[in-house]
Amino acid sequence: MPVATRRADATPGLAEDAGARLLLGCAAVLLVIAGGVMWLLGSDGWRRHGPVVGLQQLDLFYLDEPAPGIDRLGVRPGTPAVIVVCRGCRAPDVVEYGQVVVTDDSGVAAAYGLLTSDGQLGPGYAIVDARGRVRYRTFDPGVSRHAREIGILLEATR
Amino acid sequence: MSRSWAVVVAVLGAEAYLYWRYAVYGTLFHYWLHLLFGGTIALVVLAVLRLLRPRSRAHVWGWGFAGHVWSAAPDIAFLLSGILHYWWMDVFALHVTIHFIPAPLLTTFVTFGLALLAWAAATIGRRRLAAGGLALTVAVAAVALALRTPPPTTLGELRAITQLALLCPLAHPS
Repeated sequence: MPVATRRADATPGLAEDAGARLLLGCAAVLLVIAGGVMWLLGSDGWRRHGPVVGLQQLDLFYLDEPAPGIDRLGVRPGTPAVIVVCRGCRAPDVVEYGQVVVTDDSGVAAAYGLLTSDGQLGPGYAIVDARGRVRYRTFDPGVSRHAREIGILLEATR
Repeated sequence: MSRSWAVVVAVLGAEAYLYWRYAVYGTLFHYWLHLLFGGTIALVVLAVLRLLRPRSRAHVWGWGFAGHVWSAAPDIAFLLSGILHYWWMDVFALHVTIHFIPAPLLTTFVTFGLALLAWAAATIGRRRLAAGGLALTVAVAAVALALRTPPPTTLGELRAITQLALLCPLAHPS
């Protein structure tokens, strides 16, 4: 008794009921993924920061230009530094990797693009290498908790 | 339990672990992005394989997971070894560039859906439908990549985009 009906253009495939199960499985996979993505897009964090934040989350040294205002911030040449911009946040514990400067100076925040359009100051940070060039800058709501991440970035500038 | 089901269970378990790791650091965007694009590539390869060798027994869940891991390899390298991202890491399924295509999650969801359709069509012997699905998948991906925006390279560009954030996707908390 035949178990499969094939179309004229068909190659050896599955029985029709197995094919239907396969398509149902595919639909289920797509539904699960669509649900997960929609849940993410509807989450508080996504709504608060907008799609740009999610789009740009990379840990890549994409900058290489003289760091603005480092003399005023007391950054010493020859050692990498992290410049943390925030109000009332705790500095990340990364002194073993480089200098740590915490500031709530809005001029510094503006220079590093860490002043948002609604006037919020960071929180975020910039990584400056030993030559005094800024290599990385990011907003980071959890800057004080991300010592390992910042340590890796500082270490990579050496 | 058959071998096939064992693979499915193992893949689902590993995916759950990856999902959790990304969720801990608030970076689920990257989980979905690399899952969808890595999965797209794996499904395209599988569909082509099915068209060329209809009796191929390659396991779609295993290949899909391999595609995801390949796509997310730079994130895993950062997590395990503290290796930063570099542009050359685009060899891992365009790991960096894929962030700059228009509407990345929607676009990669579409390519994944089309690739899944192509694979399913190839699997049930609908060769023309499979070929059409493959062509559409490649076309959508090519257009999206052609329309990608250039990444910022200066503080001036960053200042112009006041909500731009570049967080590490898988950094450990201290």
